Amino acid sequence: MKYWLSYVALCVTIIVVAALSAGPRAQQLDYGTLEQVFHEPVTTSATGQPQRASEAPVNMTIITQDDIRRTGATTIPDVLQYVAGVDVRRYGIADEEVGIRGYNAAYNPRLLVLVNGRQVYSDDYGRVFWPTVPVQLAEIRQIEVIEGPNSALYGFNAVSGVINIITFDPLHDRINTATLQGGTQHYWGGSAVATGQIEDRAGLRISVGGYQTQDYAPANLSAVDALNRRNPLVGAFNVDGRLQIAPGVQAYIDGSMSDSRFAEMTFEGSFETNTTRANSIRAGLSADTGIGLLSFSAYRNGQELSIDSSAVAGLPSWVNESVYIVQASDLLKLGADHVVRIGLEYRNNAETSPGFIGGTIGYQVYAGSLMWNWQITPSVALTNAVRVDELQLRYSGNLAAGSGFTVGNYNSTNFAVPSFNSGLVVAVTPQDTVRLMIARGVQLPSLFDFGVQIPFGAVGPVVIAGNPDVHPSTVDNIELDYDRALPAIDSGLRFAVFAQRNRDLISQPFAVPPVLGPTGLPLLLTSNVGSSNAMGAQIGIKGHADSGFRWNVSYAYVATTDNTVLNRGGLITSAINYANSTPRSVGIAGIGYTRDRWELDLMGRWQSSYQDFRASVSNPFLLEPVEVRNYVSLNARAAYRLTDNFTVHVSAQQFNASQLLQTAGPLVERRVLFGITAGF
Amino acid sequence: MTALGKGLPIGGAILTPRLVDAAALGSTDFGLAIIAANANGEAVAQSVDARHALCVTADRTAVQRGLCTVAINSAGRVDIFLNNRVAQRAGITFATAFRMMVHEQ
Repeated sequence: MKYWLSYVALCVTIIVVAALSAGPRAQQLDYGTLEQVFHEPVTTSATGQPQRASEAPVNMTIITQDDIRRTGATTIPDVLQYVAGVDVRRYGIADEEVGIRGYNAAYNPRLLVLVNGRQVYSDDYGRVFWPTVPVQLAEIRQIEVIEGPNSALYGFNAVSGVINIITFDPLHDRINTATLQGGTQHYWGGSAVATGQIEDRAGLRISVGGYQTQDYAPANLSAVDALNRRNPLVGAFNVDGRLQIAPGVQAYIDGSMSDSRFAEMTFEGSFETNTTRANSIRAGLSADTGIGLLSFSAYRNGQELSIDSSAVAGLPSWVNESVYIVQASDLLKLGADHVVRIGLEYRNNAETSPGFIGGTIGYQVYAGSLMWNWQITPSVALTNAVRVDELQLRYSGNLAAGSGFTVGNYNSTNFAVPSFNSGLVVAVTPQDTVRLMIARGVQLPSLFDFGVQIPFGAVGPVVIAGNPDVHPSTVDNIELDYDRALPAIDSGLRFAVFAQRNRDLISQPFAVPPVLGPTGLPLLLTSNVGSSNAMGAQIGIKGHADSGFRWNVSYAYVATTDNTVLNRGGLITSAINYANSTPRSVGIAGIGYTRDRWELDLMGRWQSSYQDFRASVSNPFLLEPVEVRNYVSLNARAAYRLTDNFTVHVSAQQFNASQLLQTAGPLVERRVLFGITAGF
Repeated sequence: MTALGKGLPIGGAILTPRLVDAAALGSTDFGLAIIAANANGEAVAQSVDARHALCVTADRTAVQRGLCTVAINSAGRVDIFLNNRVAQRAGITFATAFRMMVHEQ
């Protein structure tokens, strides 16, 4: 009888799915119901096509809401640190850099971060201001982490990997919750999420949250860095509305605002405090038609940044940035075995800064993409995707004298760059899946790389300039994965090996060797500085038991070699020293137990030593290496459900050490947080 | 089936099931038929088609033979098999996203 009941439930769920499921982008997919059908998470992040996570032709880890809650984390990077292959550097409580498979650094420009398909990284340096991501942890359905390039779907900057944060769907998921937390470092924070629905026709979710805290003590930093650091203050508001216009036709609109102030480690190895105000507005429509799933969306991201740093005290220190993006796609199934996705994208961004750009720089991108998935046999699928981005650069303002470039040089710069992804997925048996993937990703020079303009004498006896002729960096990646389901112990095993080659690495101008400019002045110019190779492997197992226990163990190894023109002659000017600045080994383990009203989790992360960098006290153009020894960080969380509506929880982060040197920033301190969550 | 009481709520739908003999299906009003593995046949298929109902079974060969619309294998990994010809015959269309996640023929 039990089997029949679950079977009947599955049958009815399929009807619901068949009636409700719509488009692949943003939130049109009813993740919850599809997950109910297939007993595993579903995703569109790999190819734009709705897929079961186990069938996606990429190395993807999906972090569920349960996983997020059990970490006790207060930030998204703190959640990501438990994914094999993901590197998280903690330069402060709010300042965290996330990298995938090495190549992590302050202002890391190699990671594409999205919220429901909307970019939340900043085009200025291609970096992510994690505190300004306007999402509360409680409203996240899942975080999809793709390791390896995925430019053929997403375009520029999806080079190391992609992190797509999927929130609950206001049309189908009713999330009403509030959390209040406080703890050491004078931390106080809270969040609230509320959802309103009109039957199955309309839904609206609103979230708000923020925190303030004392940052880690800057005892090991220079006096200048200590002075430039201010305590974090973060707040965000988000609204997400969806409307079922007709069967198979859905419209959505979302908007967000976030304010943050936090100290940030710069690529120059020094600290500054950034005050950022970001906002976004997006509208979209999807329709399931006879010619496929048509999707259209348009959005604008805006950001106002104010920099507080003694290093740039003589310069106007504000930067305004905006990006407009329009996307259209058609996803159609041809016959029983072929799925094709045609995509078009237009992007227009601009960054204005009298102090650092001398005016306004921006570019337009026109992109076209094509994805083809061929189910060759029921157990073999081949996916090929290709995308071409065509960029046109533009500049207006006053170029730094002595750079050798003219405004005309900028405004005549355009280039087209192709990228591709291919993946072969073979379900060898119902328990064994093998994936072979080849990809080329493209990292675009950032707006700063193209357009920084700092005249001679402003920060030193040198002209510092962007370069309109700098080339995009390319990443070629080949990877073989093996997944093994272990039903006897309710577990899944994954093994992956990969190799990648990075060409035309881009260096910001402060780090390159100076040259004599055309006017005879010393010149630091954004440049392509060489290449780097990486190879590595990952193995991990994750499972759970009916008894309430859950566990995970993983290990990731990556070895990197560089061939660049940087850091020659005994002088270190650049953090592009990946061979030394990547921890080769990372081990992660976790065990948890849920019973009755209790939820208990213990997580650990060990990583091998690596070299980080900080600015030289005597010469701001030079860096000093900081040896970060291998360390273990242990976290724990306990939660007790007082009633059906209220849960109290306590989490201890890095409880095994009061202080740890994890980066060239301040020592990371032990944190203990207490909280109460109400859910309705 | 009495264990389902007033129905089984799933998503936005409530299922109210009844156990019906295959021979009596022709005189029964229904929107979804879950066919036991050994009950698939031409008569059942005709009854389902006549009501433009969705036919679901655990018997994959019944779907391959055009006797039922959807087969679900839920033992271990869930796999869903869909016969488009049968669906068209019954006037049933599936959302494109769903079709991309199942095995079609």
